[in-house]
Amino acid sequence: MKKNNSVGGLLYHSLKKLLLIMRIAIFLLLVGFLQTQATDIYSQNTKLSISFSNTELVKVLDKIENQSEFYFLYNEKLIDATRKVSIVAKEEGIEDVLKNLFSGTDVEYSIIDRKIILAPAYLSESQQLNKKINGKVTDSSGGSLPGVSVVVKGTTTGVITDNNGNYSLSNIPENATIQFSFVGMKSQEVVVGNNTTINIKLAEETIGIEEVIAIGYGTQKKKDLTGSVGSIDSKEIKDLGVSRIEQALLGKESGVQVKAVSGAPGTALQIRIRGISSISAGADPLYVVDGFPTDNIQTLNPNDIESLDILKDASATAIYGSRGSNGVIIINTKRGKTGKTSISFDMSYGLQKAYDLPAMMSGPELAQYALDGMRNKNIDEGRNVSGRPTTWFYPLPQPQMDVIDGINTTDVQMIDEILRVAPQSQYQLNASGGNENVKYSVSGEYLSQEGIVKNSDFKRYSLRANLDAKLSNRITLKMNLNPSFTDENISDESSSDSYGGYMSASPVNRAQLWPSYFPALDKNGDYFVFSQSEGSQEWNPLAQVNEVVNTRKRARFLGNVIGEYKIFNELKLNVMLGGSFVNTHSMRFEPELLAFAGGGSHNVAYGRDDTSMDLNWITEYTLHYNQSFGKHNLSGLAGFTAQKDRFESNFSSSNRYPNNLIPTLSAVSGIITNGSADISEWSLVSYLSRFTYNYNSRYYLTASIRTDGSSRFGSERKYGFFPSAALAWRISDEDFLKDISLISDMKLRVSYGRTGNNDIGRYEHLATINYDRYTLGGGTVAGYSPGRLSNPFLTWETQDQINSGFDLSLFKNRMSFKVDYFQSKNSNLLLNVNIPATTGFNNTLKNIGEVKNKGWEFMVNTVNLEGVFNWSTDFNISAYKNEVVKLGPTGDPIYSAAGMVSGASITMVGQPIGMFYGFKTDGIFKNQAEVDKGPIFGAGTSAASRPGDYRFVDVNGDGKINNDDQTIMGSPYPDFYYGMTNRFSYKNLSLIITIQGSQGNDILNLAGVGFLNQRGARVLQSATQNNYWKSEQDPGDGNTPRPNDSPKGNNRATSQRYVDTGSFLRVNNMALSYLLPERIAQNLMLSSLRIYINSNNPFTFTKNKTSFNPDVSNSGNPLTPGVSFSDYPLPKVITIGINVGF
Amino acid sequence: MKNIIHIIILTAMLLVGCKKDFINLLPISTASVDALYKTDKDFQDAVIGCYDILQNQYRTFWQYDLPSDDVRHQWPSEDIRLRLDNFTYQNNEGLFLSSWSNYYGIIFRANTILSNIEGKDVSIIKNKERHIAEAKFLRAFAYFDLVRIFGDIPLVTKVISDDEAHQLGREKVATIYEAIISDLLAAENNLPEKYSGVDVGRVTKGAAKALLGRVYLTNKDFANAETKLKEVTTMGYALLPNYNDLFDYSKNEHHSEYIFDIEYESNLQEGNDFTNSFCPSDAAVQSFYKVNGGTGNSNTPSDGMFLIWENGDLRKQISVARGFTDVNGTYVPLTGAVGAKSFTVKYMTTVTIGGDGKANWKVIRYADVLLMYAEALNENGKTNEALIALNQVRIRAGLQGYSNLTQAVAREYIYLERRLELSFEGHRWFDLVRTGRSIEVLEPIGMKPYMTLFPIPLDQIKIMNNPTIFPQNPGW
Repeated sequence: MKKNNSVGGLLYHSLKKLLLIMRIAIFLLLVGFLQTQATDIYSQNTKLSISFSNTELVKVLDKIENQSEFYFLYNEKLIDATRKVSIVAKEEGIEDVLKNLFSGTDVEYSIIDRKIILAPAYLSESQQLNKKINGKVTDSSGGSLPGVSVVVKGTTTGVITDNNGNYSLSNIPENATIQFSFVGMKSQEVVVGNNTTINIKLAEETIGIEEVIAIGYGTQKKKDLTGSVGSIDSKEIKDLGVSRIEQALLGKESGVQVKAVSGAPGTALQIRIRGISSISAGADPLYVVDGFPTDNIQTLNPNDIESLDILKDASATAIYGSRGSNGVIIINTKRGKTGKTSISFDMSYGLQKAYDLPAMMSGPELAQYALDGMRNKNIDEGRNVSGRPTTWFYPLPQPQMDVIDGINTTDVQMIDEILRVAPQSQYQLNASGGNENVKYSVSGEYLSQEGIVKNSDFKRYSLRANLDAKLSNRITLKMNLNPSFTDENISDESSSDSYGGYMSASPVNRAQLWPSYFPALDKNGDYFVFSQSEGSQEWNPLAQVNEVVNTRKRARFLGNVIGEYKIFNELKLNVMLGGSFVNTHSMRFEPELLAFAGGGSHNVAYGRDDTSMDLNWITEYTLHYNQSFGKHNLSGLAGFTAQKDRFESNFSSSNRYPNNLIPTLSAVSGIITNGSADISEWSLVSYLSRFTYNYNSRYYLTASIRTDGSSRFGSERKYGFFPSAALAWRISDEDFLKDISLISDMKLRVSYGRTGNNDIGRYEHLATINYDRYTLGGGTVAGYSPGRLSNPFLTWETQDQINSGFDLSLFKNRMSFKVDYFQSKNSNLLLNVNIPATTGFNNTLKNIGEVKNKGWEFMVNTVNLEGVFNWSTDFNISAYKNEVVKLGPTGDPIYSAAGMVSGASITMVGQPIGMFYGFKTDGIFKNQAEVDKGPIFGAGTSAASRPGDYRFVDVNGDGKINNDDQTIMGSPYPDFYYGMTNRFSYKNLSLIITIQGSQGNDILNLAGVGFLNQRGARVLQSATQNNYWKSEQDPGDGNTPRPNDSPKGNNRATSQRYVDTGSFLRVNNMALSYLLPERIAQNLMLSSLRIYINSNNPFTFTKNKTSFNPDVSNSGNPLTPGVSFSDYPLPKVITIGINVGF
Repeated sequence: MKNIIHIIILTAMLLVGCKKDFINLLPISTASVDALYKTDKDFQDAVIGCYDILQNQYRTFWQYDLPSDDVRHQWPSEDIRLRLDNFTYQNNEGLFLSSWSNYYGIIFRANTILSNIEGKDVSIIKNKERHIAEAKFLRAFAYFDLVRIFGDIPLVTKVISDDEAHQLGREKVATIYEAIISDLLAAENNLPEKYSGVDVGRVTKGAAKALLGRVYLTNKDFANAETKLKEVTTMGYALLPNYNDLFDYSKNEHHSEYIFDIEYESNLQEGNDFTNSFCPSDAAVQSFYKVNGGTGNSNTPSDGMFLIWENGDLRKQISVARGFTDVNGTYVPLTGAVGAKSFTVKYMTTVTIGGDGKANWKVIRYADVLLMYAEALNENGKTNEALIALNQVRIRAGLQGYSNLTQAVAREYIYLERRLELSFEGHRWFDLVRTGRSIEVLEPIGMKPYMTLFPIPLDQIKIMNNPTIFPQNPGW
């Protein structure tokens, strides 16, 4: 009930806001801030130069399409495209060219913006036949289409639409299907049924208009790709209604693993393209936003994005050289188009809620568990347990006894106290338009997302202005400006551990461990506190979320200017200047509270203030050459770019607050107890070039070279050289396949490329100074010493990758397949190598490690139904294998700690990076006979396993259970992962469902160190522990050990008990939208009105019972993948929204 | 239009022209090594880098006394302290690796100073000779500890690369001692006798001579030991009248008996953690001595340590205890409930924050010099002269002086006196090994004959991976 009220209230509130914003928009219109321009300017201003003699008409039309943005629509049966024509035009308008081409024929042409429709003149006279059905054929914008073939399927009966797009058809058999076809449009079929009028809207065929893909320093027609590139366009993003752009990638692209690792608002998602290719350098892809390479896309508004292209194979990424080996994601934002100004306003409101929280013990269950734990401790030592538990040698604490006795009936799940149903809302206004000389697209956005953990939220304010100005026939200027501001209240997470000694700093994790018989607040309304003798002390999580201040504000300005100078028609010079400036201020304050006194490292008030700025600028000069000689098409690129970054940061903190009144450091009377400031830089200069050639779009060759010089590289390895080459063969154009109409397209691709990873720190190759201190004369004296050995050979990590791919389209592109196989070798991996200490150091960074990856990617896209009801499906599935080939000189494994748990991940030669390491379990010892059989842990000692304790697997078979039996106990790597998108549309209604899944991987839930700890009273336990071993007669489920306040038999060691399945299938997104019929929209004085409802994460199917989200990886550290701390649950979201076009 | 193009091309060329500098960036918030070792102050500061490691190393140096008969580890936990105590330690113990790394770290830093200072003009580096002397002393000091702990070790006298280090084998003990003696001889000439102000605590001429004396004594070069230690006795050092004052940390630690300490200071993030290590985990003791956190029950006096004192020895009470007398005069014995049944009071001083004790670690004090001098004299057949030196120490302890002893008896008494005077100050184990008595004394409590040397850290053996030039010590 409560929820509904708040939805209603907020809806009302939002509508009011909407009206206000609409008024503002209309005002802007009225003052003429945005001028509406005629639509035919493009055709008037575009000048063409062509020269052909006795050439097929179709070639001439192709040439015009290539030279301009025009495209032709016509019916092949009516227009003789093979007619030989001769034409010479020099800087002539399209009208003149067309007049020249079609003078003396019966062809009439009409130019609508960039669209040119050709139709025979005789269609003007409407053909009167025996009428049975009739209708009108239009394009997607409602313009009539003349010359469309309308044929009864399976017959020769057919007509052509007239100049107004009208047709009529008679003598139609029962149950006939009518086909509508037109070059440049997708064919459609409609079953006649009882209809006498069938109006059809044909959709433009994207294949026909040649979808263009960004490939790094240029674009390429999708059909001409030689590398492995995936792409997502704005329409897809719009329909998903996401708040971060990476969310649009979830489950969408083969070979791209996207994990929403935390549900905290504003958190970046983790993206891994084709596995993990580094051990200690970064594993994140490079982002290129409107030509600006950056690692930060935090402040981007997803709705500004026009296209998102993912370069996967090394032949595609090699043009980014030493930053390419983790893949590259190219993001281009929306630009203005010539024509009528379009203004759209979008507003959405949603609610988020945690789901599928792991079940924990109730108050009485936990008290009983504690009682049994204490009993077992006494029994293990041979103590008498016959009396009242509070009188035992190791007594049960009073609070637990009170629960057993029924005096305390508190039964709360603390997690419910700190979670909430959280609203989110988003508003954006976009205006775009322009004339031939100036085009613009401007937008403003406000996103407000409350977090499902109380007091956490994320707000984003962003503006974007993209401007294209044609300064002369030869010079075009593009400008992108993107100021933005984010404002966050952050909930502590385990990785932001500033406490020392604590398993996790996360209030969520702490709430999971709060005994269910203790309330959040005591009867006076103060935060409840219990003593160490009553349980393991921790911060009261409710106090933590309510009282700790943790904020971050970030302002960013990202902008660049691109000048394009057309030297000749075939040769262009591009110059780009860009800059990004990020300013961040964070603040933290922990008041002095009893609720925080629980064993934390500081229980006095503590405050900290951080600021940083990051200035990054780039300049880029590229020459682009494009030429065709007959069937030979070639293009070339040569360029130079330089980029530099400067990062400055500082912090101050103090624990000398006089009271809790003022959270800022102004309160500490200048007594700052810690602080530092740091400045660092990096720079990169690069030379790049690419050459592509194709013969008749049948045989392709692409080759590229990049040279990177960087401040990060040692003096002996200052420049890296990154070549690539790719070949492709369009088999379907060969004579032996040409006539097989089943196959629309078939292409084979092979490529090789070398890329690098330069994320190796900023000054690691230099011997730098450490500052030292000693005490002399009763005071402190400062000194210094060399902090490391210099390594002039230190350099980028190298990736060599081969890729082979096969593309196949069938049934007029209604079904297409794409398969890729890749193999990569990553060498020169940066490792901290042990060296003889006689050098003065124990280790040094060297380029020494080696990792291999190989994998398959498969995609299929099908159009299942077309017509009034449309249904299409995209499915992708990927698998890869990762293997460490070489580590340091001694080949010793790397044991990595996550949180407080050391060595739970292992990286060793012959295995994938970061496997889970510990003891394997084989149920529990159910009785003394099983213990006697052994092997047991700690035989003959007081820690020896007893009935009810874990039976560990004796891996080395020596009859003993000790550290030598630790082994790989789980893998964070799936056998395969997959995604599927289904799109349905019926008339104006459309539905998109995206699912994503992963199969065969494990996760290591280290939060289990708390809630699976078997110590009874200390902390709350998982409900999965309820069926525990009680006695030989009642051994429980045979897998769950007995509770024990002093665990025996190594029960608490890192073992398989923390390993849970990572397999899942999740419905990521369901988006239903309805576009109001134009007529109604126009009545409302709107050009369009769309309403939509989205649901994120509505369903998850998994057998995982212990973590919030099976699709997790707590840190970005490549050495510890798939580790969970149960930090911040991923919410389920339902959003409603409205999109208005003016 | 043309102009724009020209500007663009010009900027491009400019950028290309200066690209070398563009990608040669030096760190801003830390200096590159090349920017330093230029001024007198630079070298003075660089020497601090050596002391800093020494300070770190001596936080746990007391653990090398655990195998001796003076101390017991009274804690049931299975860790290095227990394994040292009962001779079950392994070749991969962290203690050995950290000691190895620390000492070679000091040697590396000293070598860096020495190689950088070479050829520098004295008019710029005013205190050049002193810097060299300090660096040499610290290098010799590191080698002396290394050679006593590990035996044959690599000799590094210049800055070496990783590849060179892989070629460097273990040198004979005698070669190492030659290097130590040569460094110390150089150091004693150029070190000042005293410092003032913020330099107090640096190594002195007296420290170099005293250490040299100990080196000679360890090498059984008693003639040189006698000469060198005699020089120390003429430098104005004197025993404090009251033994307990040595361990009263509210007083100046740089007194007449001080020769060389590893310096610690509280409230400056320069504190020691051995006060906590020596303090039993007994709430009453901790509260009485105001020590925040006793992490130890290590290095606690063995039962035997209570039996060796003569009546009236003023040193006993502060050296070994089984309880304390509280402010009301009530004797509060240790309960033993948490393991510890005894402790030494020598390091007890107020510790407000755990690990921030102010007590220095005494490396060489004048009583030690007198006892070493007595030992050298006695070995050189000058027993009567030896007793004069020995008796100074005894009389300060409230005991009668010895007279008319044979050389053999005097030797035993000198050894005993070292045990009484210098207990829990890191001498017993090395004294036993140096005088060849370790196996005789310690075999009953678990020592095996090969254990006079500790194992070379397993990590180093593996990294070197060259048994020909870099073998493990026998038995390990």
